[in-house]
Amino acid sequence: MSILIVGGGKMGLSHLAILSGLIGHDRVAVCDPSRITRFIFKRFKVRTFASLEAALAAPVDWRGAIVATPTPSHFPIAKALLNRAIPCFIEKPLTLDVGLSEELAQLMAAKGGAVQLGLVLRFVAPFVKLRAIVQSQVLGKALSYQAHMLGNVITKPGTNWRSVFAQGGGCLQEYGPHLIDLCRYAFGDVAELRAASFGRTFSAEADDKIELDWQHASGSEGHLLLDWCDPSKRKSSLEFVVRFEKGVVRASNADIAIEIDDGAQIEAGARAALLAPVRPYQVNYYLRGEEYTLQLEAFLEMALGKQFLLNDSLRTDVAATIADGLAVDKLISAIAVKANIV
Amino acid sequence: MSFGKIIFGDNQFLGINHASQQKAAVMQDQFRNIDEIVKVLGYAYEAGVRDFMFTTHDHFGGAFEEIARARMFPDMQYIPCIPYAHKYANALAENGIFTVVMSRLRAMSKRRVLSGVGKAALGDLGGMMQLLVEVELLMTKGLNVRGVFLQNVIFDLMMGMGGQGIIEKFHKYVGRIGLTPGYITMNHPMAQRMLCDEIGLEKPWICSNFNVAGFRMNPSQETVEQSYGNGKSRNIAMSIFASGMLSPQESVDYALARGGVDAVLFGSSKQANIVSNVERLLGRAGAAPARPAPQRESESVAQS
Repeated sequence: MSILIVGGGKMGLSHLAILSGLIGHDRVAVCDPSRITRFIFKRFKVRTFASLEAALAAPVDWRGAIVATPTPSHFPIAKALLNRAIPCFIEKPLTLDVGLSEELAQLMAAKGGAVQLGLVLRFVAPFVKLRAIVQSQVLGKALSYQAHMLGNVITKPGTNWRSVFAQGGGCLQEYGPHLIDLCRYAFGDVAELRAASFGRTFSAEADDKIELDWQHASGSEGHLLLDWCDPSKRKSSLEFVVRFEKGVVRASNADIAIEIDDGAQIEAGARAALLAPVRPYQVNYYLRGEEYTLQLEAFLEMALGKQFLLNDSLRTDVAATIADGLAVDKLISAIAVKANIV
Repeated sequence: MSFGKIIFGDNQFLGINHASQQKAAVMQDQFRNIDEIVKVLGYAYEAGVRDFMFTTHDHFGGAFEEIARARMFPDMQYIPCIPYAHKYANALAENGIFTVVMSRLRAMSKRRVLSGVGKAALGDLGGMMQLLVEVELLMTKGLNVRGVFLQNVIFDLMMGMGGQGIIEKFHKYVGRIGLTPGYITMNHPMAQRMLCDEIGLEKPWICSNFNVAGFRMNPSQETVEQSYGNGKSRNIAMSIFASGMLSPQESVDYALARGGVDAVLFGSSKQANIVSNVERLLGRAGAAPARPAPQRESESVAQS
């Protein structure tokens, strides 16, 4: 049995190395149309295929597949895999068209398959804790929050797909899925998108900056800012500042800080648990951040039916499902319309 | 060959703090100025540290030129960790692969470059690794380089991909030019298995996280403690302070009370912290000097 990685680019390489580290590199194969890419992978004795058709026609028991191709090709690839009931891990976003995402969700349900989305930040320890604080209401209800994702991805006018919204480019479709999904993950479904606007720095046919206001079904109000042209950032930074009834929580990729209001009534044990430091989860093989391994450990558990995750609490209700991917695509589409990007 | 008991690290110079993005941003601003880097290296040198391990970030180029020109820190030994991955990633995004390759290769002889590129084209990735070492060492010209370590991003990637052959070639090549090879990893037990059991290296240097909190000790703190203690590798403990989340004494006690820690790597931007950490580490080590007497004649290789 083997896991097939469709797409040998940067994310495909990352997934290949992590999966190889977890299950052995003889049990992972790569499918990519580029000869040079296949040549390099062959140097590492990785089995390669020039097309998805060739891989699926080969006498291999494919127990799972990773879809790490450019977003416009997610739909046909996922459809072919789901038709064979092969469990899929699909990089975010699911597709660029809500109608196609819905079709995949229906196909998955009809064929009894399984899909996990590459919404990797769900496995970052501070965000897991933020969500637990919201759900437990230990600080009372989450009243409102500000969330930003800032980075220095685009530094000059671009000429490739990244600067074209229709091809999956722009900040909303690149950064958006992560931040939007984390908002849903922590605060639940979004009930109303109140305002959205976009700005351009370098991209002629896409957005470089997005600001929006919305309200969740739970009542929490959120203000989001996304900007992938911020020259002050060495790498992308993501932060939530959340006002609860009894305090304020700041959560980022690296840490979480909790300020409890003076006089707030919180039981001693709960207070200690709240203030305990957060550390990254341990993994079987670390490459570039625990979350990248954790999401694949979760996927392997689903695909192979064996235990990989070292922390039981991450086993259920953390990994993003196809319903989460579809919800994110719907929100991106609504934001694009509201902000007049399309 | 051995490194000193205490090795000074460079995270503070690059604005890296695993526990706080705010602290990281402050440090990044402070060390934009080369003089600040030289000043803090001076604190470490005065405190008795004689080994400096750093990633080959372009940021250090100016500081190293200044140190070499002014003949500062005469007994300091330098341990570059290659490659600084962000450098290539950023440069790739900015200028495209051709410009990146050419800018790195400009300073080398045409014959060496052609040979390396030719090997890479033929699929000899080990040959490309040699070229990478040569290119990355260019910035250490005039410094007393003692070892070359592979960064965890590239080493752990090679390990995952089954690239033992490439690691073996790196190891032999670095040894051949008179330096000590080493490996940074976030997977100490797995790295030790590959280096010692699969490749068959004798007591290789492995640098990994080792701290009382179990921070980034994969797959578990217990397993890493065992692989440190089994005597198969020489080990450099890093992140022993786990980015400041624990008391310094607690952190040092943990690192030194267990067997298998041959050296400790730490970085700091504050003189008081550098001095107190060195004292704590040496206090436990029986007040030994931070490093054995210098043997620069036989153990260092000047870059030409």
